[in-house]
Amino acid sequence: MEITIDTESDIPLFSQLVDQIKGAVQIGILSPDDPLPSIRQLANDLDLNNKTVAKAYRMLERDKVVRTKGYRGTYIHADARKNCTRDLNSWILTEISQVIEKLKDSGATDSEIRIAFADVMNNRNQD
Amino acid sequence: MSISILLNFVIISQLFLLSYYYPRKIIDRIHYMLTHYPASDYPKLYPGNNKMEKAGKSLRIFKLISWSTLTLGIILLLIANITHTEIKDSMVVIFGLIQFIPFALLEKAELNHYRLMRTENQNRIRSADLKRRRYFDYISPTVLITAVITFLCFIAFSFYRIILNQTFMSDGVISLTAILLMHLYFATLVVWVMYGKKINPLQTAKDREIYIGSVIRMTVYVSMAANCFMLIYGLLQLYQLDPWKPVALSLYFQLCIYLGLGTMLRTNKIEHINFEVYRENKITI
Repeated sequence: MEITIDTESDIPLFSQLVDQIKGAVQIGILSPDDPLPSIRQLANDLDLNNKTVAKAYRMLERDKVVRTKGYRGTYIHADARKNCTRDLNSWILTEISQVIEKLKDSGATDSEIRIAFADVMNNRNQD
Repeated sequence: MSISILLNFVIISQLFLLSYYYPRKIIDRIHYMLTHYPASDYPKLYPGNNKMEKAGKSLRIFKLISWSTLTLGIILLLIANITHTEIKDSMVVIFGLIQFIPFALLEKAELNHYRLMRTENQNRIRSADLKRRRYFDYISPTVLITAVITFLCFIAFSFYRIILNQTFMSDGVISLTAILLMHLYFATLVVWVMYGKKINPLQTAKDREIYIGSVIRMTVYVSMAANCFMLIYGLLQLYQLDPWKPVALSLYFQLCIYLGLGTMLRTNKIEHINFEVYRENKITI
């Protein structure tokens, strides 16, 4: 299977990689336990930074679409097809919207929510 | 048949292979490319300002050096025969290296050509094969095991010679170092070709696979040839069969060009290369 990226697209490069790999899993081009190229190989083939491909692989691993078997490399996860259909972004939006609604109902202003959200995120990142 | 007559035949064969047959094959290949894929239809194939002229110039230089080497070789062989000069192994080595000069220059010109291609490449769309490359996709384990066995035989023989000579800077140590350095270079080349950046930015995934396969096969075959040659050469030194040394060296050079360049030309035929990527309107790499 050939993977194609557009370097001038508005979609981030790692997202293009994630979307195409998920797409390939969904239509059955990639099956469970199929090996994926190493980060270095894919980055060099696409003339991208290794970190971009590593980020895409991390996202796929988080979504349980791929799994890393140590030095043996990255493989398609056994439940990849099922996990590909899960839209994490939409879930995040729903969850945050519910929290914001609850805070607003309690009388919190937009700026208070923003500052509190930023504080929590900053503290998490410092940890 | 005396050794000197045999040596003459072997050197004529070396002259023919290294300075006529394979240069002719490369010239035909470049000529085929220039006539079938001109700059007017395939502009991306000829980067830089001078377009096809540059490729033509490289071809003329290659042709001139190859034909000059051939002429020089024939003259030197005639002089050696007329004056009854003994052809030593060092002479074969020096002349063999001279014969490889045009190939080295051509390789350098090719790398410069690809560098220019990379500089001029403005494609925003990039593509790659989502397949992990593995060494054994390109070569059979049997061939590799054979190569490893020849390598181990050579190592064992080298240690035998080192123990026999009882000196550190013996011929055994020198040949062992040379072979180890050669294998280190081959290993680096294979890793670079398999996992490194594309040398030719417009090469299709399929053509790249063929190219990688050619390079891997070439390195394994040349490695086997080098191990066997070093073993034979070591035996000739050990048993002081000096008159056979130039014959062995000349045959080794011929085997190297046949297994090296010959493998590349046989497995990577120009007729099978996808030149459509070099057209102006083609944007995928």
